Amino acid sequence: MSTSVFLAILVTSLATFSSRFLGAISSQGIKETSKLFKWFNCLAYSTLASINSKNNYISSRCFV
Amino acid sequence: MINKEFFFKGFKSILAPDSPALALGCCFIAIGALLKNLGFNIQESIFSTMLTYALPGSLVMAESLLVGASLLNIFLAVWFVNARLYPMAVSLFPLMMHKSQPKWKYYFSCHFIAVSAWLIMKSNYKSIDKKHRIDFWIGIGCATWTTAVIGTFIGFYASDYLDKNMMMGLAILNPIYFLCMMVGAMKTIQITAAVILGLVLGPIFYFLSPEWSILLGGLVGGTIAYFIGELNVN
Repeated sequence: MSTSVFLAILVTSLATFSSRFLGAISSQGIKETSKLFKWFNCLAYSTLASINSKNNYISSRCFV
Repeated sequence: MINKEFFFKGFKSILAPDSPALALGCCFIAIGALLKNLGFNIQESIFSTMLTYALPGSLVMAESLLVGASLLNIFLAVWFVNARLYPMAVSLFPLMMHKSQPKWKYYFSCHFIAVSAWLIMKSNYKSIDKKHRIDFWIGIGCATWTTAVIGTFIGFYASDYLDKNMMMGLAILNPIYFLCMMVGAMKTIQITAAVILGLVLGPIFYFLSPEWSILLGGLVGGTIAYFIGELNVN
């Protein structure tokens, strides 16, 4: 495994894990009945829908 | 330690009829083939899926390497692309928090946060006692993560038999599947509004700013959906 690819994979995993880990840490004080939780829930669903429609739009253009 | 009964219950959930395993596997087959075409060897491809376990991040890393980007640039690009994982984590972990469970389980299992596992957990958590939800989640995460690794392995060795159209067909299966799962999750006015607004705003923001479209679509759509839900309750 070449060093540059190895380091790139490590950096990528670090960048990805940081979002997950920060989410796990900061969610500790949030109750599932709170307004903040509801807002984050809406953000998560909306972001995923946004990714999906963008990906589907780009893919459909590639097929044409 | 991990409760085996709930771990295997979670692990087996990918065998359910509405499981994302097939779509997820197909998508990682495409990634495995793509990584091979970009010059990765089998160890690098598997290592990438195991450690990153996020499709967009792997793609950005591979493309960045191709154009000779620095490690800092790769870090920032991947961090922006995978920032979506933050709200996903914040909207999932409070559902699984229990005083009797050790913290390491939560820190360890946050690696499994991905659209597939997240949607399975969101649609099943109510049927699991809160104390054991984290074990159930680890089971789901291990199952989807294993599927991704196996998919990458198959894709790497099948890449010679996959042309561009087949790879795109495999790659598009996942977003279409997730779209169906999200439509199935539209059970409250807040989630319904969040999904519809995200679907509409994503491509609109893509025309204005391709780099920020996902985050802007999520933030604006999610915030409007939240207020719609609050107004409806009031």
